[in-house]
Amino acid sequence: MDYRLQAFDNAFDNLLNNPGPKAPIKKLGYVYDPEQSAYSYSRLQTLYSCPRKFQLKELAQASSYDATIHTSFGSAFGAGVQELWRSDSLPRATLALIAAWDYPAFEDLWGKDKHKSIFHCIQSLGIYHATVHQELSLDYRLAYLQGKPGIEFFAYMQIGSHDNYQVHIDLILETKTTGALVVLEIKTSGMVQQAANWENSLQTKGYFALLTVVSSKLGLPIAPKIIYITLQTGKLALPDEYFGFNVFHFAKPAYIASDFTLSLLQDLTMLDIYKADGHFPKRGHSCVSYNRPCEFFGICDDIPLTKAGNVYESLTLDDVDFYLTIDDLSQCNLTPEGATL
Amino acid sequence: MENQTNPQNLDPNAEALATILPMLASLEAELNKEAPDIKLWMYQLNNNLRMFPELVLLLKDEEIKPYYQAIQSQTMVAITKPPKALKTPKVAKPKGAFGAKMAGIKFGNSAGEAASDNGDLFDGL
Repeated sequence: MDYRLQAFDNAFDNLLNNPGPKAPIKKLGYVYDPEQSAYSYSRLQTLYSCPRKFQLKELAQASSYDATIHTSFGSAFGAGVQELWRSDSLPRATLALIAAWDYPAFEDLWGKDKHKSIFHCIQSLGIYHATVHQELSLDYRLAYLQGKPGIEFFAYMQIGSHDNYQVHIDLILETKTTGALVVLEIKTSGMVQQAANWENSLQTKGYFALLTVVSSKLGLPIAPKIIYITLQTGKLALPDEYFGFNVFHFAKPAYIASDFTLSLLQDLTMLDIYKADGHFPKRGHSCVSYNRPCEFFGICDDIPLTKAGNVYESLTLDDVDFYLTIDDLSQCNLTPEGATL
Repeated sequence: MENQTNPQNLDPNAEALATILPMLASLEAELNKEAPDIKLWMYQLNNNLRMFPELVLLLKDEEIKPYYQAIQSQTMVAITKPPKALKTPKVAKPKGAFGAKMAGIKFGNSAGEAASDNGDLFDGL
């Protein structure tokens, strides 16, 4: 069947069978406080790509969030993997995957991406369970921190009185031998995945910094590494390429926690300069990404800067799994020689 | 007192279970059909699970089993769609007289006589 007809078929099926309102689609939740600026790895990624886009998207929140086949595939696969670590039940993990699928159809409505349907996602989860999961499970199991499973671990770091940095961690595991904590991050992409994508990212450094403080406060050991499981879609039929899976173990020295803190503070200092000058520069090289123009391209000078709304799901401090301040990082005595906090 | 009259108030998960458990029965009936429409059923499952994600934890293993088998069969159907007809790969052909020679084409003269293949393709033309 022509892909357009198939897409219409899917859309009609979905409309026919889902007459009621679905759960609201919102991005990953943040603690929202109008008196504070909340930052995260993904928000700062926007800042790095284009300060002007950051001003519109994150400060004014002048964009809405729609699930795409890409975000849906990633969050659904991640939910499945998380449930596997909790229950080690593939049927239950498959249900978790389906529960997290928030794209309005099971396949790309535009017929473009043929490797990110919900069925490819389910198949990928089955392959993950039979391969990568079996291997990792020999050494690791899900950690329970203060009685809560280390799934979608949500940490909140207060920075001074006006800023905070919020972190969602996919999984916190522990080694079976010593109980040392390890972060596990899940990534899916249509692009080739390699260590250079993630090894030095702010996310990796931030995870390590956070884990350092968690272990210090809870009196638990840590394995000084972050594990990334990456899935490159479109490789399901290629066992020679491990079906698209890669597992990266990034060992980190202790001073990386301080490196993260310094980087974060420098970013916030730069933001203060933008705010004080009332000028968030445009980065022309970011007007196109993945062959798509920026959502604000051509209109970014015309959008009012009054806050349009809160596109993120609003959480409260009660939803936070772990609260820390930036001073907690410096008190971990991890400062490298020559660096100051 | 109100809790005693309304069982759902006793268990906040009761509504979720009350929604999905009848689906189990309908799925079993669906699977017994000659051509079960599992995809349509999966849309309903997706909708229910999004409204009540706690069902992932609430359902028992034996309740999940028929769901999972149906989903797996639908997944196999979707993943192993019949491949498209193979196209003959296009091979760039050299052009001109040299190309014609390489392709083994012999030019005939006006009388339909094949040209001699002595290296001079234009003999007799």
